[in-house]
Amino acid sequence: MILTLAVVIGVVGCAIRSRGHAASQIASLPLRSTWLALLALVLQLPLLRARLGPPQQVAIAQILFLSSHLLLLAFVWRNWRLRGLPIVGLGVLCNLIVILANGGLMPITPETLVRINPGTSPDQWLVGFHYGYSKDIILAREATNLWFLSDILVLPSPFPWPTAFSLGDLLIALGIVVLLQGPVTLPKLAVTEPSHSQGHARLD
Amino acid sequence: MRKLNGLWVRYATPRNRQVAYVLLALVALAVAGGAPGTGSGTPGGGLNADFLVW
Repeated sequence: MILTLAVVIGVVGCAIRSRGHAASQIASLPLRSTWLALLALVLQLPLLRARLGPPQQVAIAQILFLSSHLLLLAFVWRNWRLRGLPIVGLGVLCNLIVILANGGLMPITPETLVRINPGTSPDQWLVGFHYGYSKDIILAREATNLWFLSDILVLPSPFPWPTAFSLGDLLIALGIVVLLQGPVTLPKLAVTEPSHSQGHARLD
Repeated sequence: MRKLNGLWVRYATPRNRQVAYVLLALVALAVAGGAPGTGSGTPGGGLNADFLVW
């Protein structure tokens, strides 16, 4: 939720900055190979639609999920020069590293699940199970590799949609907001020949 | 049908379609890139939730 919210915040920020010309600003974003991001999401749908259960039940969905990250990284690589995309790439990489370090799913602790599911207790959450309708696996903190990169951050109630997210998610959200602030590309390190007529370089 | 066609001609301009496509791609990137499926919003919902939560 926080990530889709980032798109909304980015659009609002863009509308404010461009004084009502957000549509033109967004339309002029030179995003390349957008189909990669769309296909990556399609590949993840089987996992996102799987119910709570042991990870063996989602083995094929898990392979598709991991493959989708290759598409995402390719998308970031194709758009690397766009402002914000390197931040998105770093976020994707952070998530991928912790996912790979924990058997192919994003770890989340029972305690965090209790925080986003008020009224439940930690023992209700079956450790080692895939948390239904998500990309997460329920793991105890001690059993989690690179715990600090896992879903440890929480937007609790009274936020309408209590959510857990990771540092990588936060970076992706930040990158998208930055990207939507304008179709500005990173400056090229170009070497310009000095102008003989002026005798000195002019910096604009 | 004619009304629908009129709306399409009026609003589905190349620029607006480009905006929709860019936003769709960014939402896909956000959802696929992150791990946003950990919200429930309903007490105990994650235990037997039968809806998709992002």
